[in-house]
Amino acid sequence: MFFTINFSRHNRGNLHRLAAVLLFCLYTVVVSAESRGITIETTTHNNNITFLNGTYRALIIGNNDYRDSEGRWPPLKTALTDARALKQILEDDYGFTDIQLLENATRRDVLIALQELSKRVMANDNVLVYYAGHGYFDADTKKGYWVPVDAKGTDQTTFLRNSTIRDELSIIASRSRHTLLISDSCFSGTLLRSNTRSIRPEMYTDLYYRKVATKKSVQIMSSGGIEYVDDDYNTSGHSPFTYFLLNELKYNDRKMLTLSELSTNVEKAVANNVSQVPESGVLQGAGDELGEFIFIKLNVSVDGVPKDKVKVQVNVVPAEAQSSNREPEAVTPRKQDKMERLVAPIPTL
Amino acid sequence: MKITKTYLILLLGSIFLYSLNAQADGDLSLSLGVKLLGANWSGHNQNSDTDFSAGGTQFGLNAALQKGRFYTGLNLQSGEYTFDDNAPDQVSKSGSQSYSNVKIKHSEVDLIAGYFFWKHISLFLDIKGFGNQWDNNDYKLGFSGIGLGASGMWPLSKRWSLYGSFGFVPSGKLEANNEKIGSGSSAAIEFGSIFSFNASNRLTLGLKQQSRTYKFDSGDQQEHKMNGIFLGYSHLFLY
Repeated sequence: MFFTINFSRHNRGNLHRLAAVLLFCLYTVVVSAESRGITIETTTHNNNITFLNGTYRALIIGNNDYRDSEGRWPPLKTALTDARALKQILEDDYGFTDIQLLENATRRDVLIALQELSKRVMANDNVLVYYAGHGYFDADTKKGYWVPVDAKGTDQTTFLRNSTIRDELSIIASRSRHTLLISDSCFSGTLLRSNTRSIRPEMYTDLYYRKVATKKSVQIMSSGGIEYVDDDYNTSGHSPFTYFLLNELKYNDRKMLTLSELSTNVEKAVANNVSQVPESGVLQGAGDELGEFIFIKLNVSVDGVPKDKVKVQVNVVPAEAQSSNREPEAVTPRKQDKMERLVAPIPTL
Repeated sequence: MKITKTYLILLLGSIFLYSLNAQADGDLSLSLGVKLLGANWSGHNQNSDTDFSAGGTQFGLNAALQKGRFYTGLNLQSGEYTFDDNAPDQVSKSGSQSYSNVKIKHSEVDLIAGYFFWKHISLFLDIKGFGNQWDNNDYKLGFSGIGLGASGMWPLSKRWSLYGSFGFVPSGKLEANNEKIGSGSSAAIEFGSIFSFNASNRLTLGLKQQSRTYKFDSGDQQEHKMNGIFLGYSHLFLY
């Protein structure tokens, strides 16, 4: 193609400088993208945790952009950044290999994602479901709801009732070893009405971890009880609950962290800083056997051991069903994900 | 003028830095596209008080890289317009010359950087250049400048989306045969629809209008308008 554009020397100089800025930034974008292709090395196995051999899976939902024409559900500031940050930390630091991030999910999106997740789950898997978005509590019926982005005013048929969430989670829980729901929304405490299990810190021994890891668990951690919760904590870009949750996960220096340990610390931190009190407990009637969801940190520091020698091996290959004869169902490819991506056509003047 | 350019460069740099920090975890995509534009080029020569009009087609190639909310891209397009009657006057420092029955080869280049400050709406900077080459002599007219625009994309369904953009180059330099002969401004608006066959292949169909005003140092002035319809195909590499 032939171009007849001519630039003077002076103008050419400016354009060259601008082009250099563009090229540098383009290079930086590409390089930064490549550098995030994180490989989890499992070369040194001196902290091999053999009793947790299922895949770590997560469904993470963040709802910011509410479309309610009645204005009942204003947009949120932090749910998306909360969801994205949690995805990153689970991927980078805790060896989650199957993570689906749902941004601005409709009611249907959530239900489909939960159903697809239940099809992928296998017997020894550890499954985490996280929700950040609006919540609703009907004071008359005492029912709680998640509010999807396509919710319409106070029309509860457009919400996701807690009992529906429980049903979907129960299916997942019936097929997995450990299931954990973390809900960061108003009134999320209505999902559970059971106190957290807790033991004294000195009782967190290897034997304890081994025991709770082998027992089935179906746990819930919520940002509050039956109360409103804050959106943006000290302009951190995160809700107070998820801010402290991420903090605990980030600065945790133990190779194994049970939900009870995590929730105790998060609950204290949140309660000390804002006027909401997170709660945790079990999903009743879903087969909980007093097991524990255990987060395994991939790279922790251990006294006296060089840092590069303490990588924890996590067997991320789906374990063959040991306690179930159920054949894994075919995983539905998430073709929608790519179709839904907003890739802008290049605009020109 | 110098101050305006400095501000634009600073704005461009800020968009880059902001996007790198804010969207470090965004999805990466590369888009390669071809485009066919059929357009009517019309306008008015003030000095000779003549109107001109011609039809023509342009063929374009473009590439765009999007990372999260940030995108950058390059667009090249070129085509020929046959003026059966009056054509745009050839203006130089010494004056202007009118011609008719000439062909003008028109080429455009855009270097784009933009950022989706909102979910569906982005602001972008465009380093814009275009050139016209008359076939009856060696006269070449070039325009270059930095423009600012806004673009939007709105999904209607899984396969259909609407998009549009508008913007302007507030002030650009006009050169004839490598000599500055004046300045000009340019504005453009386009809108259309996108049909996605699948995640990687899509067609775009849209309308575009460009308006340009040239103010020559000799005192002459020209108004140009290009109204076109375009069809494009893009292949997306989604990472």
